[in-house]
Amino acid sequence: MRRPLVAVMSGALFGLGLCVSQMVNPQKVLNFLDIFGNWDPSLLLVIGAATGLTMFSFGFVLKRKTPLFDDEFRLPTSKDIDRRLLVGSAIFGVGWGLGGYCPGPAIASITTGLIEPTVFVVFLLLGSQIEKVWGWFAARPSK
Amino acid sequence: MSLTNVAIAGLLVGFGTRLGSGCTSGHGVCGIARFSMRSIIATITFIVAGVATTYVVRHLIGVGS
Repeated sequence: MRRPLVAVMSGALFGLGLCVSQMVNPQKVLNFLDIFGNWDPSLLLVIGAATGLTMFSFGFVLKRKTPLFDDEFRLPTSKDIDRRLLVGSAIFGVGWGLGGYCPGPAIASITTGLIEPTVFVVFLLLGSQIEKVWGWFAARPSK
Repeated sequence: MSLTNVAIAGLLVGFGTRLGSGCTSGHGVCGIARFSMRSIIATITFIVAGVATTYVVRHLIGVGS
């Protein structure tokens, strides 16, 4: 029972942070991305603080052999700066600039009861599945 | 913001995060915190793309400003 409980608590803390920092407000995010307009740089503090604190805590956490509530760390191993990484990140950035939502905050925003985050998350899942199917076809050797 | 706009944004974010193996949290926070070069490059890429898109939408097309 401990693992699901810790997962729920971690998720709740993350969601709370996204709400307090206003990452769940797409207009706030778009004002942050609008550096050539009426730029609102305050989300730099959020991203900076989040990354800084994670960097600090990873220093301790990743020294351990295993996590407290799992048998092993599952960390990404790929080191390649390839086309998938660049094209995927660019497509994500275009969607982010279009809607002001990224995946975590969009999921947290469903609790606002607004229709937009729910529509966004449905199409987020659809887009993810399209990439998966497209990947199958792209991986098949051409005859 | 129109729901069509939100839907297109959702499709792009879903497709892009899977293809690029990460989002703001994955690459931006956790990846950079592990000093991953992939994540640093990915984060720069999606912030530049986000800034460029916001510029086009708000200042060239003039929507949502």
